[in-house]
Amino acid sequence: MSHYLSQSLIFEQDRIYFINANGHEHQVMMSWEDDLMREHANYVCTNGGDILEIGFGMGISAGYIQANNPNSHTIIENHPDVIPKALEWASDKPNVTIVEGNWFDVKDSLSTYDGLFYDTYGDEHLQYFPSSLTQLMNLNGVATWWNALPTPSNAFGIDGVEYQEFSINPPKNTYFNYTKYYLPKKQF
Amino acid sequence: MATTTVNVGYEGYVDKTYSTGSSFNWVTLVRDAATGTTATTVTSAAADVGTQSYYISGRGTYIGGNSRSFFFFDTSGVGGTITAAYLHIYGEGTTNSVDTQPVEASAWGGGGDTSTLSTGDYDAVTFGTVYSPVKISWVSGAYNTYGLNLTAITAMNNDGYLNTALLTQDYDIGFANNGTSPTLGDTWAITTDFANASNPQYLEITYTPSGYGYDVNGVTAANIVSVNGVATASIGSINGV
Repeated sequence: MSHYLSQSLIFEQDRIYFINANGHEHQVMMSWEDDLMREHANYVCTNGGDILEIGFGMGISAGYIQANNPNSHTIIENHPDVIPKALEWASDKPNVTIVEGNWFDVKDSLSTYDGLFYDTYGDEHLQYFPSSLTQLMNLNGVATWWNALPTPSNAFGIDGVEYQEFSINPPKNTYFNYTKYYLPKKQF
Repeated sequence: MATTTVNVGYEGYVDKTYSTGSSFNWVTLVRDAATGTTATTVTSAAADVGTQSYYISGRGTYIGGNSRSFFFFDTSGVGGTITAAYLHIYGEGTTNSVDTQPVEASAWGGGGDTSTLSTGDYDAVTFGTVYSPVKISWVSGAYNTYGLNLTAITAMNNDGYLNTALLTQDYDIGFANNGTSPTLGDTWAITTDFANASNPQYLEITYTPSGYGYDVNGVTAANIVSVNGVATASIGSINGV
């Protein structure tokens, strides 16, 4: 089990976080991302159809994806404290399927999708995301992912990615403290 | 002069990955690691990323990786002194424009006594002993060719084998030369067609045949150029001797 998965998460209205062994707060996700999550969600729903979301988090992007009325909405979540939240959220949404586990472990059992949004925390299989992407996508499908870098650099080495620039002003946190966000867009 | 080819005997790759929740020194924790994370000896055809360097980040995670491809060629059957050689590696893909270079390796037990790689072979490379100039492109669906230098040729003539590792030049070798290491967001990788019988890695060798090495009618072998018009290099035996 990864270090992150062994952490007890604390859920508050504006953030999810844990306290590490040194007593420091580490945010996993925060509400300041709302506008970015909406943009990610709207992009993956460009073609409608079947949507795969890797990482539920606060459920912000999941809500925006649902607002686009996709044919199906599959969400993979691996943290034991987040899974119940995702299941509860999905309980009244017949087009939603929650897959419990690590995306890398379950990827070969998945279907193919018209839209994919990858946004995980503490992911020890991050380096396998680009090589796994193709097998999950339909022709003309679109994919986007959380870009942890404040640049439009091709960090994953995926061909043909375009970046949309956003000016942001996040509160000080432990995972993203820049004033520009470059949202990746990849069409297959 | 004569030419021959020698197909790869053993091939595979060893990688090292390191991940944590904050940024770290890629050189110290990845490149200079004493052992790798996984070792893969490839015996069935597979298009794998054997040589790569990367340092990437996601939400709450930083991951660095480095992989080195290892190839062993038994050249002991070459009937003469090798004078030139080319290393041919079949490419299947690339991520970004990656520079690569073969260096001396001591995997496979050093002399080919071991047919499998172990994680301990990760550092079985000599960065300072390069076997060819840098190759600044990687071709997919075709062979990538490295002209081997005198160091490699001497090794083959002395040892009867070529034991080499193919590394990223910019970062894996490059750090030793100029202190360059990946910055966050860098990914460099090549995919190799390993263990494919249709496209094996091979050496293209030019050599001077040993030829007939005995005295004839009292004339020492070193002074004989030909016998009955046949060059000594092409003579295996005379009258069954």
